[in-house]
Amino acid sequence: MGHKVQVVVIGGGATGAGILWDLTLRGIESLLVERDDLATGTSGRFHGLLHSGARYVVNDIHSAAECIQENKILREIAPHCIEDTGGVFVATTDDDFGYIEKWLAGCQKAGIQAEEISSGELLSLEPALTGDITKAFNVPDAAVDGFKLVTANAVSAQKKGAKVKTYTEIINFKIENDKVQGVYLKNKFSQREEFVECDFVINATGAWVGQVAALAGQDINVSPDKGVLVVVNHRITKRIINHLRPPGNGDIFVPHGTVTIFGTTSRPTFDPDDSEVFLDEVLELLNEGTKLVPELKEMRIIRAFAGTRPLYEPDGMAKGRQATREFFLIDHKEAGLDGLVSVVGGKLTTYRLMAKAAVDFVANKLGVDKPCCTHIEKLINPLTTKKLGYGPYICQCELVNKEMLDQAVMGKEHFILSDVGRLTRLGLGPCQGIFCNLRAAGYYHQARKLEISEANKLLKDRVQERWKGNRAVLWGEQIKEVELSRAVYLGLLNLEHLDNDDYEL
Amino acid sequence: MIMNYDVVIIGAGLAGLSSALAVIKKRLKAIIISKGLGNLYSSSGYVGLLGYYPLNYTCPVLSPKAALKKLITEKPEHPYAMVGQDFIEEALSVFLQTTRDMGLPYSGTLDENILLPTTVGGLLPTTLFPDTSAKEIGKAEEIIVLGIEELIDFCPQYAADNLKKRINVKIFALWESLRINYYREINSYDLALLMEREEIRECFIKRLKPRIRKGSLILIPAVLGITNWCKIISHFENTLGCSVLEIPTLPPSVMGYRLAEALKGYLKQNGVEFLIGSPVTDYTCKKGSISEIFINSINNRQMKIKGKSYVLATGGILGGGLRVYPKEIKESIFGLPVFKNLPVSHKNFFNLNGQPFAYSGIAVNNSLQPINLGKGEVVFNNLYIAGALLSGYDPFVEKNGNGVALVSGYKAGLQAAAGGGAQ
Amino acid sequence: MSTAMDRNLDYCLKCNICSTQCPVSNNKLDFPGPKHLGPELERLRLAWREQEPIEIEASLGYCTNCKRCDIVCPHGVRPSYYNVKNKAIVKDTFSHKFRDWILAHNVWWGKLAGKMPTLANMGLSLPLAKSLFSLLGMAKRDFPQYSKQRFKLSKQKKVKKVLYFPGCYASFNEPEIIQAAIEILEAYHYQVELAPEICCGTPMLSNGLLNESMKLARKNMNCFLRYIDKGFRIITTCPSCGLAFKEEYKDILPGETSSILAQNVWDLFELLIEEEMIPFDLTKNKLDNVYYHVPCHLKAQVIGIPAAAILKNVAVTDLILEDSFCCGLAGTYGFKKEKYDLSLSIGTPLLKDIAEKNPLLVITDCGTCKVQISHKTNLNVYHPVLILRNYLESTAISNSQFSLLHA
Repeated sequence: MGHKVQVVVIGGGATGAGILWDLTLRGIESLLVERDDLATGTSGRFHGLLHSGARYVVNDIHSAAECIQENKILREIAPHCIEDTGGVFVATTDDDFGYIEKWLAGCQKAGIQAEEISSGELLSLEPALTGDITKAFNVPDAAVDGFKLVTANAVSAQKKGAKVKTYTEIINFKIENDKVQGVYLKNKFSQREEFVECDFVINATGAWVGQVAALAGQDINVSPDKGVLVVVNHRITKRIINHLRPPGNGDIFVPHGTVTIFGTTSRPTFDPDDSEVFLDEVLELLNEGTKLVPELKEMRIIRAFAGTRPLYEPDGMAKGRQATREFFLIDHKEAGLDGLVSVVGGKLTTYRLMAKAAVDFVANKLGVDKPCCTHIEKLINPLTTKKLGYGPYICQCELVNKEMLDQAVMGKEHFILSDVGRLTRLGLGPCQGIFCNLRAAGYYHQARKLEISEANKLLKDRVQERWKGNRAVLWGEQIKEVELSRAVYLGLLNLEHLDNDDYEL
Repeated sequence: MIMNYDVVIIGAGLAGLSSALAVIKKRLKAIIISKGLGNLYSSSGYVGLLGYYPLNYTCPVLSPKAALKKLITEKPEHPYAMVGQDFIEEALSVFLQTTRDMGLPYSGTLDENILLPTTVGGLLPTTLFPDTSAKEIGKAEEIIVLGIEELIDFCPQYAADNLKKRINVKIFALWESLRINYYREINSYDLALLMEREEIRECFIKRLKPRIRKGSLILIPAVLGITNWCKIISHFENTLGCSVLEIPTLPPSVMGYRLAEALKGYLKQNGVEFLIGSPVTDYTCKKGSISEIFINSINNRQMKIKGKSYVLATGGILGGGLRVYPKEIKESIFGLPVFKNLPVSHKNFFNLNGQPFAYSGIAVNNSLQPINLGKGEVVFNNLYIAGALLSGYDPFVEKNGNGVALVSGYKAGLQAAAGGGAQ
Repeated sequence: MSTAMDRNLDYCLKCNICSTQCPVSNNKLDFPGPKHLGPELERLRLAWREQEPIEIEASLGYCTNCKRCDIVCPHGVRPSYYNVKNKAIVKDTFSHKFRDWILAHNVWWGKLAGKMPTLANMGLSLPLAKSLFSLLGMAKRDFPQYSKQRFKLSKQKKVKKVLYFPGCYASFNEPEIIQAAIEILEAYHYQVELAPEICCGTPMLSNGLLNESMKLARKNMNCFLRYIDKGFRIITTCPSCGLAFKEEYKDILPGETSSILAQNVWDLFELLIEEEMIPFDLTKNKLDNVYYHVPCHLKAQVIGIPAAAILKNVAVTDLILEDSFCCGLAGTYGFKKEKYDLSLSIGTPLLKDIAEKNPLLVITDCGTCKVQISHKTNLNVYHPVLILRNYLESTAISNSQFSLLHA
C-alpha cells in the first residue's frame, strides 16, 4: 500500500512550503505534510513584518544582512504578499542615545539604508505617534502576509506537480538499517493512516522540530519561545513603527491589511502548542506600546494571540531575545540516522534561504545538481486581490464574497473556517465573524454538501476559535462585541444546545 | 418647568419601555432618555421567561411557571427572585393586554414554553410570542424551509437539516428570489420594506405557488413587513393555502423592530416623551435621593432633567450600562456598586452555564433599588434598576433577556411611580 | 487617527440599527447604508485608499447628511462624520460638480436676487431658466421665491444680548421669520443683533466642498467669538445652521475655538426653555389640529423639540408631533435631477402621514422641509417663530407686560 516520493517535507509553514517549492523547481518529486492547515504555526502567528534587518543589526549582524538580502528578493518574487509600507525606527527621550549610534553603524555594516527623518515631518505623516521623538530613521521594512506567502509557495509547487497533504500528521518514521525509509501518516479528519515511502525526509516543523525528531529517536535542543501579539481594530499608522532601542517587549507596530498588529513579548515555553494569552501579558504590552503611541489604550483591541519562536542555540540553551535568529541545518546522520535532516531556528523573512540550504543539502545527497532558482522564479498569487466594489459581501468588515470563499477551499478535501479566514480575512474584522461565520457555514453546507454535523462543527469551532483570541482582551468595545456574539449565537440561535439536546418534538 | 417628570427612565430597551408602561398605567408623566435605540431592535421580539433550568439540562424548560418557582427558591440573587412571582405574572398580563391595544397582539402563558425555530434550525423555548408565531411545528404535516436568495443571513438547507434532528416530519428546503437588483448586503429590514410593496410580494408568491404543497407549514425568515405584517402574512397564507411561521433573523431583527416601534408608538400616544441620542453624563443628589440628571447635548452643553424618581435600564455590558475595563467593571452613570466586577471568562464559549462576567451587575433589594454590597443598604432612595443591568443571571444561556427586561422593567416602573418604594 | 473622532469607527459593533433608520438605504438598494459607508469603509480606506479605487464611495453623494444614524447608534458611532469628510474626496462628473457648486453657493445667488427679488422670481419661473436648470442637472422643482424685507431692530442696550443668525433660507426666502424671531427675542428683553454672514457652510459641506466650508466656518467662528467674548449668545432658528455651529464645525475644525462656539449656540426655543420663559397667559386664542414635523437636524441636536414643548403649552391645542420621518429634500439634495425621485420617495411616508392626519396647518423649523411639504401638499407651512409671534401678538399683551414664569 501507499506510494513513493523522493522527499517528504514535514511542516506547512514558510520553511516547509519554501522547501517544497525549491525541491519542485529542481525537479525533485516531493510531498509536504502538515498536521493542520498551511501557516497555522509560527508563520501565521507573528507580526507580519518583513524585516529590513534593522532590528538585528546590533545583536545579530549576520541575521540582519540575510534579512535585507531576502527582503529585496521577496519583494520581487512575491509582490502580492507584500505591502510596501516602509518602516521607521523611532527613539524617544527615554531611550539610550549610545544605542542609536551602535544601531546606525550596524545598519551601515549590514547594508541597510537608514535615512533620518525629522520628528516634525514624521509626526505630520503619522499623527498617532508620540510627540516625544528624538530621532527617527526610515528603513525598508514591509508588511508581509504570512498566510498568503506560505500558500503561494505551496500552490506554486503544486502547479508543478508537488503534493501537499494538510491535516495530515506524521505518526511514525519507518527506519531500517539506520536510514529513514518512509513515513506513516494519519489524516486528522478521516483518521485514515497511510505509509509513504521516500528517500529523504526534511523536518521543517519550526518550534515543533524536536517533537518530530523524537519520533525518529532523535534529540534536538530547541527552546520554543512564546511571543504575544495584539490586533488593533484599525491602522494606527501608515508605516511600520519600531522602537529604536535594544529589542524588547512591545516595540513593533505593523499595519497589516485593515488592522495593526502590535507586539511582542518573549517567554520560554516547554510546549510549542502553548498559545494561551494572559491578560497581564497584554496589559504589559500595551504599557510599553503607549511609549510610542500614547493613545493605544483608548483604541479598540480586537484580539490577542501568541506565536512560538523556534529558537535554537547549537551549544545548549538559548535565552529569549538574546538567542541568535540564525538558522541551522541538522544532519541526523551525525547521530546515526541517515535520510533525515532538520531545519531549526530562523525567522519568516529568511525562510527562502533556509529552504535553499536544506534543498542544497538534500539535492546533493540525491545527486541532483540543478541549482536553486527560487530567488528569481516568481510565485503564483493564490488569491486574486479584493476589489473595493459594490457588494454583496459575506463578510462586510473585510469585504469577502462568495467567489473568494470558493477560491479559498478549492481542491481541499477538508477545511475549517479558520483556514478560510487566514486566506480571505473572513471574520478577522471587528465583529470577529458574528455574521459571516454563520453565513459561511450555511454556504459551505450547501455548496460543499457537508453533513449537518460537519457544518455545525465548522461553525462552532470557528466561534470557539474567535473566542479564544478575545478572552485576553475582554474590555471596552470588544467585550461588547463578544456580548453581541453571545446574544446572536446563544440568545437568538440557541447554538449551544443545537447538538447537545436530546429531545424530540 | 418643562423638563420635569414624575419618572425619568434612562434606557430605551425593553426594560425601559416596560417601566414606562407601568408609569402610564398610574397616569404619571414619564420621559425616556437614551443614548441610542435599545437592543430590543436586535432581539428576536420573543419574550422567553426561562429557557433552560438547571442550565446544563439538555432539555428546555417546558413549564416556565414550575421552573421559575424552583429558580426563585434556589437562586435568591436572581432578578426573578427580586421581582417575585406575583409581579412576574402581573407584568405578563399587562404586557399581553398592551400588545393587543397597540396592534401587535402577543400570546402565550406562564404555563407553557413553545419551541420556535431559529435561523440555524435550533429550537428556542419561548413564553410569549406574536400571535402570528403561534404555530406548532411539531404538528405540521410537511415543513418547507424557505430561503430568500437576497438574504445571505439565512440558509434554508442548513436550518432544515438541523430541524430534521428534532422533528419527525418531512422537511424540505427551498430557495426563491425577489428578483430585484441590488449591489450591497440586503438585510432582513430591507426585505421587509420590499415585502410591504404589493407588486413585489405578489410576484414572489406567484412564483412560489407551484412549488409548494397546500397545507404545509412554511418557515421563512422574518421579513414579512414592517408595519403591515398581519396583512402580509395572511396574504401568503391565503394565497398558498399554507401556514407561515417567521423565524427571527440576525440583527437588524424585524421582529424586534416591530415590537420596539409598536411599544414606542403606544407610549408616545400615552404621553411618554422620548429623548434619544445623548447619554446621561452627570447627576446631583440630595439626602440619598437623586435630584436631577444631566445629558450632554452634541455641543457638550449640559441639559438638566428632573424627576421624582428614576429608573435605570441602561442594559448590561452590551447595552453600555456596565463599562468594562481590563480589571474592573463599572456602572456607567451613577457609579453604583457592581456585584462581581471582574471580567472573568470561561474557556468554552458555549459553556452551558454562561460566562462568569455576564453575572455581573447591580445588586438590588426586592424593590429593585440598588444596594451596597456589604450591609445591603439602599444607595439612592428614588432609583430603581431594571433589565440587563441587574446582577445574578446570564440572559443568553437562560434565554430570558426580554423576559427579565419585561418583568423587572414593569416592577421598577411601578415602584418608581409609587415614589420612595418599600424601604 | 490623530483625533478621538477619527477613532470613532472603533465603536461600531455592526448591529445595523443605523441602517434601519437611514432614509436613503431604505429607498435605494445600491446605497450601502451608514454602517458600511461610515465606520466600516473608513477602516478599509485607511488600508487601501492609496492603492485601489474604492468604487462604493461613489454612493457617498447619496447620503443626505440627515444624521439619523448618529443619534440612533447605541454605541456612540457617528457615521455622518465620515460621510461628510469623505464626500470631499469622492470623484464625480464635472457637470454634477458644477451643478453642486452652484447649489452650494446659494448665498451668492440669494444676494444677487435679493437686490431685485421680483425680477429674480420672474427669471426663475421662465421656461428658458427651467430648461437651463434641467441641463445643469437640476430637478424640476419650483425654487423658493426670493423676498426682501427690512428688519426693525431696537437699538436699546440690554443686559441679555444675543447675536441672531437667521441663515440663508430666512434671509432670502422668508424674512418674516427673521422679523418674528427678533420680536420674540426683544419681547423677552434680549438685545438683538443680526449676524453679518448669511451662510453657515452646510450647503458646501454636504456638496463635498470641504475647503470652502472650512474657510467660511473660520470666518464665522472668529466673528461669533468676538460676540461671545462680549457676553452675547448665538441664536439660530434654522436647525441646520444650529447643527453646523454645534457639531459640524467641531468636526471639520477640531479645537478650542469650535468647542467654545458650540457651547454658546442656542436654538431660539431652546433658549426660551432653558431660561424658563413662557408667557403667563395660557388660555387665549389657541390653534388646533396642527401638525408639527420635526426636522432631522433639529432631532440631531438632541435638545428635545423645544418649539413643540412651548407651543403645546401656549399656542396650540391638538399638536400632532411627528419625528419619525425625513422630508427627503435635505437642503440642496432634492434639487438635483438624479435625486429628485429618491427625495420624493423618502418623503412619501411623511407626506402620507400628513395627508392622513389632515391638519389645518403644518409647523416645521426647517426651510427646506417646508419646500418639500409645500411641493406636495396644499397646506400652509409655518416656522414655529411665526406661530409664537402671532400668539404673543394676539394675546394683546404689550411687550413690557411679558413676565417670567419660573418653574
